[in-house]
Amino acid sequence: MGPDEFLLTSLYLYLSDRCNLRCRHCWVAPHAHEEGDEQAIDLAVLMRAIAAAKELGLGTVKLTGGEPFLRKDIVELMRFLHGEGLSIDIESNGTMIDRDMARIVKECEVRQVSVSLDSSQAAQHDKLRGIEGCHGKSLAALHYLRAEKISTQVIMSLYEENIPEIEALAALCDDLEVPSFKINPVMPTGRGEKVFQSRENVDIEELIKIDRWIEADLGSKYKTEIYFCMPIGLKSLSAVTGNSLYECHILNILGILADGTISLCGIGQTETDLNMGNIAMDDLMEIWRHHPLLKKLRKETPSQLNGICGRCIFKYRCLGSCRACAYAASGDLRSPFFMCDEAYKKNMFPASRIYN
Amino acid sequence: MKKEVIIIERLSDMPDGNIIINRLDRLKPNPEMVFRKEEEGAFLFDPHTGNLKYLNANGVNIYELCDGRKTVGEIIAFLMEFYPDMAVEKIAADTELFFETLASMQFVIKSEKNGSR
Repeated sequence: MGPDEFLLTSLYLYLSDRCNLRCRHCWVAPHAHEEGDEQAIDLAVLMRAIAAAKELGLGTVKLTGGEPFLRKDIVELMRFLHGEGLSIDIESNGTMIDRDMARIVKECEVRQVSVSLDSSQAAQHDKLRGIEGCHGKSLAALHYLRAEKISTQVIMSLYEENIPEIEALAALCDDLEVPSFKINPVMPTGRGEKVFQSRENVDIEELIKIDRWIEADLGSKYKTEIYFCMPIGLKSLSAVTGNSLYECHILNILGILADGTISLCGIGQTETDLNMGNIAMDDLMEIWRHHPLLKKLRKETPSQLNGICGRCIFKYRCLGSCRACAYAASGDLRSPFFMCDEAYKKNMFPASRIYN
Repeated sequence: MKKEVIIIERLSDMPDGNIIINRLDRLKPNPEMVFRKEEEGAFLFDPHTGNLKYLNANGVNIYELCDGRKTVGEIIAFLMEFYPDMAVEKIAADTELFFETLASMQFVIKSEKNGSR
């Protein structure tokens, strides 16, 4: 494929490098929002970059962070994106979404707002998120969004300690008429590295058991769709052939950090080698078409992936799951994704899906 | 007579890459492809292109009948006996479509022992 054949379908805008929570697992490790003013890129510059991205195929913009609602002109940005006819998704901890903000989100026809909830119990959620009282605010956000009939998703970060909360959260999502419940096992990047060092993460045997339990049992109990994020190679055959898998389309996305830095995604906040320029100074179109890092990524992904990812029959679909996580762990964008690597080393990766 | 002409025309591969199968063809698995069975079905994987096709249990059974000896017509006849409650036209149409899909993706190839001419 030539550079023009790769469409830039999604932009991930990391609108703030600050966060009002202190989540123990956060993969981008943002600064506390009290730590002085951040270097936020000028809105006009951001709008220009988005307009350029539209010429490259842009259809969806995800607003995330840090906490995206810490950005003071987020409403103006949402209105701009809406006016441009782009689909808008938001990932937020929900603590800054009040009734008025929910109305604006509705007005901008945001496609989905994802809110983080790690437990149905306030004490456990607040402990994992590092700030007392945040559970109540996140729940309130879900109520406000529901009142405006906005499609929502709850995202749970899974540690060993909150495994028993999966079902309780599924039930809560059902009660709140949340259409989608996504469970993300904590990854060993950013602050998550410490979670792995202290062995508070969930090991691969347990992850596979949870996945099969959700598929066979829990998923059919509730109206809320439950997505358990695990690479396709480790999923059951029926899940593989279904449509309910989350896959990162790394060859069709770019991340723009709060200060305008262009990177693969939010990983650029901690892995600065993956940054390719800044929208204030550089031409986004030129970077998308000709930057050596993207050329290398396109050349190597998935045909030159290493380890189990290089030998998996799903590599052309999965693209090695999270390349950012693989890079953070090894400094090499071709290295295997940690879950599949762990499964392979423990002889738990399905032999029927390995070739070579 | 016209039907005969159509059958002869279908013996050649189509210019758009689609491969047309007729009932006298003998198909066999392409040795360059990866075929992997699991409990509920199987995968066919092309390591050169990354193409991947999932087969359910019925698909696996039919794929495994492609041994390079049986003709497509013989396989269809066998399936008609095996599924007596199904409409014969449907069995024939579904099987031909299935083989054409597999052949277009290079997962099966025509056997050199093809006795179709």
